[in-house]
Amino acid sequence: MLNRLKLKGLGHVFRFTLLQLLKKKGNIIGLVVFFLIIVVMGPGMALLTGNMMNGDGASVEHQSYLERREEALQRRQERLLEAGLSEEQLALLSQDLYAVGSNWEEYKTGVPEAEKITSPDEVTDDDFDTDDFSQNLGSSMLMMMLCILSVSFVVRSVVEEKTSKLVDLLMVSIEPLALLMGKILATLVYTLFYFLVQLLGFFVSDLIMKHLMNLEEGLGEFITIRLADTSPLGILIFLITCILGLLAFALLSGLSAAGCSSIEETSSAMSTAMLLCFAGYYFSMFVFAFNSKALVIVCSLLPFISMFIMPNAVLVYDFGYWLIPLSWGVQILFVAVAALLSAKVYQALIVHKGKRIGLPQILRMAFGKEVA
Amino acid sequence: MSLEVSHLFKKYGNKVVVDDLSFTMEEPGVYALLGTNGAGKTTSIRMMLGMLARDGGEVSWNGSPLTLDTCNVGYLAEERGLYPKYGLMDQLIYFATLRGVPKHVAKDRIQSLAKRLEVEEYLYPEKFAPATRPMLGQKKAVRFFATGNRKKEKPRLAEQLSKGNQQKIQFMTALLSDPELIVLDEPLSGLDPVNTDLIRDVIREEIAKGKYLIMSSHQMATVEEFCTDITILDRSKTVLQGNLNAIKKSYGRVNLHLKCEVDARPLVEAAGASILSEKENEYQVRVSGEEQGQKILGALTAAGISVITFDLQEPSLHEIFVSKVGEEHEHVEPFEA
Repeated sequence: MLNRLKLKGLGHVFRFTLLQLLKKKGNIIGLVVFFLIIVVMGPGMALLTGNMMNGDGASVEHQSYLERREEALQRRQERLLEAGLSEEQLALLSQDLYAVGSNWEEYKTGVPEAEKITSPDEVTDDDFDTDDFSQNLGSSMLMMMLCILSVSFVVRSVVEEKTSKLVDLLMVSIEPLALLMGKILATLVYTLFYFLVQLLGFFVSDLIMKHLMNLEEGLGEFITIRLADTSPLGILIFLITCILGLLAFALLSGLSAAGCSSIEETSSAMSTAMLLCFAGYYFSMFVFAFNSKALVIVCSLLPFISMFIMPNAVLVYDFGYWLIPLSWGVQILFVAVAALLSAKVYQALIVHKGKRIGLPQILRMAFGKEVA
Repeated sequence: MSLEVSHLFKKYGNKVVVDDLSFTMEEPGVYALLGTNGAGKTTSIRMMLGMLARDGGEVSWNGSPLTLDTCNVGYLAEERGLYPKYGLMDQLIYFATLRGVPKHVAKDRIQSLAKRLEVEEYLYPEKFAPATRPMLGQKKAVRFFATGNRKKEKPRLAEQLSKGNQQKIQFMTALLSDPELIVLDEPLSGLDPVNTDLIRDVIREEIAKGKYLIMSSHQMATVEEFCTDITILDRSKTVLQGNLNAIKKSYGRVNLHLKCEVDARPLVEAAGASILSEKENEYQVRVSGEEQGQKILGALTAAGISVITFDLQEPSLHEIFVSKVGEEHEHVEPFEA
C-alpha cells in the first residue's frame, strides 16, 4: 500500500504548484479574459438578438424565446393548414413539437412565461424526457469542460517541469509519487477554482441582464434554477464523482506527459485523455436512449466514463442510490492502482530523454516488462 | 560516516553503461569521478542517488542503503535548470522545504549563500532598487514605512538571469539543506573566471566543514586542486582508481620545466629526453624519470649554461587522464607508468 514515506513532501509540492498557477501572469490574464467573456456573453447575445433598452432603461423590444417560438409555430401551422392537414392532425403534431410543458392551445391562452417553465402542473410525461436529456447534457458538458481544463493543466505542468531540467534536483528531494500527486491535486483545485470563476461570471452576467438591461432570462438564472433544483446530496454526489474522475484523468495525462521530452509533444500527450473525455461525453448523450439498464450500470462503473454517466443515472434517471458506492468503490480502486503503477514508472519516465514514450509502452513498463 | 559504492551495474538493452563500479569514502574529502563523455559518470551518480534503477550493486551510507531518509544529499546536476517563469526566492524556499528545511532556516541560509555567491541583487531586488526622490510632504510617510523611499521591485524570474547567475542559484539549491554528502556534476562548466573562483571558495569552505564531496568534472585542474581520491571511467569500465598522490607517485617525476639563459635544446636532446614545447629558451621536457632529469642538469652545469628554472614534477591529472582513456581525444604523448 501507499506508505507515508512515498507521499512525504506532497503538501509542499501542492502548495508551490497551486501558488505558482495562481500567480502566473498568463493564467491570471486567461482567467480574467475567460471571466469577462462569460460576463458579456449574455448581455451581448441579448443585444445582438434585438433586446435593446430605451433611455429610461426599460426594455422597448423585449421578445422572449417563447414569444419568438410562438410566432414561428404560428407560421408553421399556417403553412401546414395550407398544405391540407386537418385540425386534428395538427393537434397531434403539436403534442410532440411543443416543449417546456405546454401544447399549442396552452400557448395561445397566454400563460405567463415563468409559470410555463417552472410550473410542475404543466409538465407532461412526453416533455419530461426532454428536460432530463437537457440536464444530462448540461452536466456532461460541465464534466467534459472540467476534464479538458484539468488534463491540459496537468500535462502543461509536468512537461514544463521536465523541460526546465529540474527533474534531477527534485528526484533527490522527493519521492516521484508525491511529486506527481502534489501536482495533480494542485491542478485539480485550480480547475475547480476556474469553474467557480466561471459560475461567478454567469451570475454577474445575469445581474447585468436583470438590473441594467431589464431582461428576465439570463444564463446565470438558468444555472441558479438548476442548482436550486439539485439537492445538496445531489451536488455532493456530483462533486465526489467529478473529483474521482478528474483524478483518473489527471493520473493518465500526468504519466503520458512524463513520457514527453519537449513542449511540442504536449498535444500528443493529451490525445488519449481527450479521446476518453469525448467518449465519455458522447456515451452520456446516448447511453440512456438505449433503455438498457445493464449498459448504464456497466458505463457507471467504467473508469473515465463513469463520471459522465453515474450522477445522471442516479439523480436524473432514478437508477437507485446503490449504484453510488459501487461506482465510487471501483473508481477509488482504479485511482489507487493507477497511483501505484504511476509510482513504479514515473521516476523512469521523468528522467527519460529522447523519443516520446507512448501509453502502451508506459503500461508495459508499469507491469515490469522491458521497453526498448 | 562512510560512503560505500559496490559493484554498480547498469545496462540499456544490450549496452552496458556502467560496469562494476566500486569505491569507498571512509572519511570526509573529495572523491572525483572522471571520464570521457558517455563514460557513465552521470549514470553512476544517478544510480547512487536512487534516481535511476540499478541493474546491480549497492550504495550504502553509514552501513544503511543510501536513501532520501538515511542521507542528507545536496546535488548539483549536470543538466541544470530552474522554473523559468517562477520567482527565484519562491523556488529556493520550495527546494529547501522539500528537503525538510523549515522556512525561516531556509531564508537565513539563502541570505547567507546569496551574499557569499554575490547574487543578492537578484534575490532581494528591493534592496538594490534605485532610490526615488520623496515628493513634497512625503518625508514623514517615508520614515513611517519600513520600505523607505525605494521603488517597489518585482521578484526576479529565473529567465531574467544570465546563465552564470542561474548556475550560481542552482549551486545554492545544492547547499540549502546543509547536506552531509554533496554531489557536484560539472560544477564549474560555463562559468567565467570570477564566478569560478567564487564557487571554488564555497567548495573549499564545505570541505573545511568536513563534508563528503563527490565531484565529476572535465576541468582537471579543479579536480586536482580538491580531490584526494579518483576513479577514471572509460566506456563504462573503471580504468584507474585510487589515491591521487599515490597514482601520481607511481608515474614518477617525468615532467621537467626548464628555463635557461641560452639555447639548451642540443644538450636536452643529447640526454635522450623529448621536448614537448619550447619558447624563448624555456622548455617543457618529458623525461623518463628523476635520473634522466639529473643527467640533463649535470650536462647544463658542465657546459656552463646558466639555469633559471629547473622544476622536475609528477605528471598532472590531465596527463594521466589522457594517457589512460586514449590519445585519440587529445594529442599528448602517453606515459609509461
